Amino acid sequence: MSAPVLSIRNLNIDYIGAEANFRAVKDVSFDIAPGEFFGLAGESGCGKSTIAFAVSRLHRPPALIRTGSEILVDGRDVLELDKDALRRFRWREVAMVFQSAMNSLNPVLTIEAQFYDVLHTHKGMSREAARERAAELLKLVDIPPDRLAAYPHQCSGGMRQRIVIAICLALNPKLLIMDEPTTALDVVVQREILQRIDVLRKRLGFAVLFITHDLGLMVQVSDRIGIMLEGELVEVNDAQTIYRSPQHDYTKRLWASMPKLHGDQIRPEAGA
Amino acid sequence: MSENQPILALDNVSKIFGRANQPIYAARSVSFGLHAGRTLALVGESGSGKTTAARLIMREYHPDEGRLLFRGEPLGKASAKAIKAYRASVQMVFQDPFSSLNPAHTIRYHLERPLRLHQRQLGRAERRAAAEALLERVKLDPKLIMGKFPHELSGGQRQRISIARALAVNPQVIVADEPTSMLDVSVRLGILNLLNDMKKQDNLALLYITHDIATARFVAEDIMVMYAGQIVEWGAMDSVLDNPQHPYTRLLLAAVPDPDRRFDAAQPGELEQIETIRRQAALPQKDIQQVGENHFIRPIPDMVIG
Repeated sequence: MSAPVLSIRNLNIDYIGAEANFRAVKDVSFDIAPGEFFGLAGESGCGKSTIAFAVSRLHRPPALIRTGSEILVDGRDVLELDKDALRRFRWREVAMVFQSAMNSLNPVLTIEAQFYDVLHTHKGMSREAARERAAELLKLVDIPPDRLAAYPHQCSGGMRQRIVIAICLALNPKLLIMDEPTTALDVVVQREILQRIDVLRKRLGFAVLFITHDLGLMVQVSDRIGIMLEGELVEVNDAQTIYRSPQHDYTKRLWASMPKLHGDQIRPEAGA
Repeated sequence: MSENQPILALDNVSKIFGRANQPIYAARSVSFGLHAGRTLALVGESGSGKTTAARLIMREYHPDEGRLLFRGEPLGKASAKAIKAYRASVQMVFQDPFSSLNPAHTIRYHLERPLRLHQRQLGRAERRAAAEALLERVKLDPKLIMGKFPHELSGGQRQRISIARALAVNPQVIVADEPTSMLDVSVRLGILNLLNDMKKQDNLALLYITHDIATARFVAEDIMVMYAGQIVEWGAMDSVLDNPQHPYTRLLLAAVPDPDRRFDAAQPGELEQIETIRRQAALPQKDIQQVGENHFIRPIPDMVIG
């Protein structure tokens, strides 16, 4: 097996409180291989977003990563990067699509200006070069280049989400983190976007860390899945195995609380 | 009243926004009935007109065309007083349990207020007892919950309070607009089961509005699929889900996450095809075609059935 693009070892994260600390992530370890689609599932408050933020060191106090924790991206410990190294690391190595990404575009700048911002800051590109690269990137997500002159409010929610993804791919990151990227979109658009991501990661070779509470969707798109419960990673396996023969009691209960679209309905008392 | 007469019916109702020379139909010729002891699911994507339908039922909007019938009686433009009386029969549960409860008031206030407004004959002690009974119905402990504020409760508990509040006035119809979409999967079923139990105990007519078709199948006997203000396909739940006839319904069902089906990449031309289906499904369509025992569609031109 090739060396993992992301390797998390014994990650412990506390939220520091006045009286007591709250351990949000408890001794979590997992790897993501290059090009792999890894899903992290769990309910609100289980620590999945805390992990996503920690990987790009976007966590803020009162969150505190405990010593002994390791987050290796391509073999390099993210927790030891200094300020400059961290700036070079973000976006170039790991890019992140946030939960309400469609609202994370700057409303008073054109789409082109937002691409230029990234390409100029990280690669020192001129306006012309950035425009050309931005048009290429938009093409990846099926958006015509004439949209570069548009403002975010002139684009639909699904389109804005695809633009954010295109900006994230601007520097060819090795890992794309997506924290509930399609929660605010309806299912038809959601499918279009995830199909697009799937094609792109196969073509460009980046790995994906996909965070969602939609378990059906997760099984459909992921190669491997990790299930989190109250800060602990309780089960990791390939998507089909974890769906067809879950080992952990909590995973079994999660599947049992998903209503089915066809065939026998789940037992009504299952989730009560 | 005959057995088959719906408690509440929409008869060819349209709601039009925009200017007269450029009307936008948020709902176009919508007809359906809500029956006692039954749940009807209304599914569709954002902007399809689901919430407009709910607002028409709640009489927050007055229909621009068509009419509402309550127990067979047509409802016209009504005074504020008549609408208040109507809302004692038709109640709503909202999507967001975090914003639909007033953060400045206790749970007791939330439950006693509808009783004070709609059942004025009740004395103070009776109101108290009624509020406690309501909490017990939604399986919450009055001793623990009654004095709490909304922020002290979980999302699932808050949604139970919303249901209790709706039940306070002994309604005949409940409209639930995405009641579980903001809750975790493990508490969703509890809320859906609760709605179902209430429906059976009180012989309620329930309209369940959602974009989550799997939960619709869990609670409802019948389903309507809405797109661009029109109901494009409707009928018995399993007939529609297992044998969808309208191209938009097929598109919607194919996009629903299903762990039993591996995700495949979009075929060449698939996105264009989706656009074509959307464009055609949005055209006004008067014809109705029966495609099953209790299963209907509004066909789009050149549609092949089967």
